[in-house]
Amino acid sequence: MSADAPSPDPTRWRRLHPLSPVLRGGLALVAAVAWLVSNQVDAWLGADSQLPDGTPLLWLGLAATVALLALVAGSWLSWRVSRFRIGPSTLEVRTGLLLRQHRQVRYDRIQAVDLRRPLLARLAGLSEVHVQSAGAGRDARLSFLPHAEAHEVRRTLMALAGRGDERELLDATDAADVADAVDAAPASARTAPGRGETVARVPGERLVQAWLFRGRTLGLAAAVPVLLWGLATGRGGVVAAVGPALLAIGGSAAKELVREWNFELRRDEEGIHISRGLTELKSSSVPVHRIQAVAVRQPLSWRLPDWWSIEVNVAGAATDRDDGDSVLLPVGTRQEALATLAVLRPDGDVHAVVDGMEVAERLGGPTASAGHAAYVTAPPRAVWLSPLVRQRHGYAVTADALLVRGGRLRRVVEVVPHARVQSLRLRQGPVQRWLRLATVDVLTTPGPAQPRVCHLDAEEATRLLNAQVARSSRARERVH
Amino acid sequence: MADSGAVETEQGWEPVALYGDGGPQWQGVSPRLATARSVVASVVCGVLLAAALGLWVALSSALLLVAAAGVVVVWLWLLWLVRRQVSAISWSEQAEELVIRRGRLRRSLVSVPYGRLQLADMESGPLSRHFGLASVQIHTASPRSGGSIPGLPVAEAEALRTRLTERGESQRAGL
Repeated sequence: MSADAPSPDPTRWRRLHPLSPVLRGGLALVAAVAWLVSNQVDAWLGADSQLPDGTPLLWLGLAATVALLALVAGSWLSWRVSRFRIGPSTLEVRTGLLLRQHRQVRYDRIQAVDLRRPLLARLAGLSEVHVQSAGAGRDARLSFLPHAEAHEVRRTLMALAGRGDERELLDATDAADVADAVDAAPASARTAPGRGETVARVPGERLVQAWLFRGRTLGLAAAVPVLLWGLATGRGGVVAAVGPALLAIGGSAAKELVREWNFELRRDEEGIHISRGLTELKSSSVPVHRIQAVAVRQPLSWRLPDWWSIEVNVAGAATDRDDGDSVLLPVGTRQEALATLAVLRPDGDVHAVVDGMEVAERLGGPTASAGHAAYVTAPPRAVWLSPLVRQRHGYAVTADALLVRGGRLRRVVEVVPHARVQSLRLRQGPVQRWLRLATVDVLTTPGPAQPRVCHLDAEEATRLLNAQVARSSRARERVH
Repeated sequence: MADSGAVETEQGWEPVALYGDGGPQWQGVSPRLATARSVVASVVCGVLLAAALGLWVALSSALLLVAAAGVVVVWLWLLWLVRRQVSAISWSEQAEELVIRRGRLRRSLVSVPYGRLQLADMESGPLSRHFGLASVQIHTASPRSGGSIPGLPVAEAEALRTRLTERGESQRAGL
C-alpha cells in the first residue's frame, strides 16, 4: 500500500486497507472469532462435555463455520466496494454493498483533517483519516489506511482545503515567517512530512503530577479510605453512596490521562498540530482561524510549579468536551504556555495575560504592572457580593483582544479577539442594582471559555459594552 | 404599537445611553402581550380557584378557603407582574446592532451586532395569533447569545425580521 506512495495520479480511485473491516468491527469481531475458534477447537478435541450428544455440536460447529465464512466474505466484499478518491473539487467516498453510499465532501467545506490510531489499528500499522466538514453529519472517515498513505492523504487534503484558511491567518497576522510558509505551503504539502518545531511537550510525569494535585484527586484520596471502611464494616449505604461517585471521578480522570498522554504541540510551515493519546493516538491540526476564545487557567495547586493550562473555543467543534479537542495545553510551564499563546496570536499582547494571571491579589494592590494593559476591576463595594474574588474580577483591553480575568484560587484569564465577540450582555440583579453594579457577559461560541466580567461598576459596565461594540465592529471590518 | 415607542425615562437603563448622543430610541412591545399573558395566568389561576372552591363546597374545610384566598392574591400579583414585565421589554435598532432590554428586578440588556446574525425567525402560537402578535427570535453562532423580542404586532415583526435579515447579510461577518 505504502509502496505506491509516489502516486502517479492523485485523483484515482483508491481502496482502503484490506484489514479495515476487521478493525472497524474492532474487538467485538476479534472476540467473536476467537470464541468461535476456541469452540471449534473444543469440539475437535472432544473436550466439550457440555453437549452430550454429538449432533447439536456438529450443527453448532457448522453454523459457526458458516458464520465465520460469511463474516470473512462480508468483510472482503465491504472492502471491495469501499473506495475513495481525491477528486478535482471534492473528496468522494463510496461505501456499502446493498446500501450504496456516495459521500462527497467539498474541499472548501473541510474544517479539519485528523489522524486517529486506535489501539488495534496501531498494532496493524494503520490509521484513520477523519475529515470534519462544515454542516452536521457530513464527516467522512477513511478507515483504515497505512500510516504513510494516511499521512499523505491528510497532507493533500489539508493543502487543498486549508489554503483559504491559512490565508486568513496570514491576513490576521503580520508575521513574515508565517507568510513565507503559507506561500510555500501548496508546494511543500507534497514533500515529506517535516517534524517542525515543538512548541510544547507534556511529559507523562507532569501530567500525572498535575492530575494528582487537582482538587478532584484530593477528594478521590479522601473518599477511598471511606469506601474501604465501608466495605470492611459492611455498611452498604456508605459503599452505595461513595462507590459510584468514586468510579465516575476515577474513570474520568483515567480517561483524561489516557487521552492526553504523549501530548505534543508542534508548529511547522503548515500550521499548528497536536498529537496525543496513550491507546488511541490522535494527531490533529489546530484550526487557528476558527479559534474564537482562549482560556488560560491555573488551579491553586499548580501555582507552586507555575503550570498553566490552555483551552480554546473552536467554532463548529462538537460541544461535548469529552473528546478533549479544545485542549491546547493540558498542563504546561509558563514558558510553554506563553509560547503557545504567541503561536496562537502572533501579534497578541502576552504580557496582558501574564498580568491577568498574577497581579492584584493583595487588597489595595496595583491593578497593572510595568505599564501593560491595565485591568479594570470590580469596585470595592462589590465586596458585598464577591468578598473573595472581588479583586480578580476585571477586564483589560489590548489592541486586538478583550481579556477577562477572574478566579481567586483557580485563576483564569480568558481572551476574546475583538473581531470574535458574538454579542454582549449586560445583567443587573436587584442587589447589584442597589450597589450600582452590573455584570457583563462576553458571548462567544460554545466551549471552555465563557468570559464574564462580574460586578463592574454599572457605568463602567455600560462603557465597556458600548466601547466593545465599537471595537468589535472595527475589528470585524479589518478582518473580513 | 407604531414607531412612537416611548423613550424610557425611568432611571433603570437610562444612563446606558448607548452611543452617547441622547440615548437610543427604545421601542416597547405591544401592550396586547400583557393581555395575552394575563389570559394564560388567569386561566391557570381560575382553574385552581375553581378547584379550591369546589373542594370547599364538598368538604367545607376552612383550609381550602385560605388556599382559595391565596390563589386570588397570587392571581392579582401575576396580573400586576405581567404588566410590569411586558412594559420593561424594549428594543432598539442601532446602526450596527440590535439591542434588547428586559426585566425589572433582574435586568438584562443584550447587544447583538447585525454582522453576527445567523438567522432571524418569527414565531406565533395560537394565543399570540389571536391577539395579532408574533415574536422575533435572533440566533448567532453562540447558542447562549441572541435573544427574542416577544409581542410584536405581526406586520411589525415581519418587517423587523426582514430588516434584520437584510442587515445581517450586508454586514455578515460569520464567525
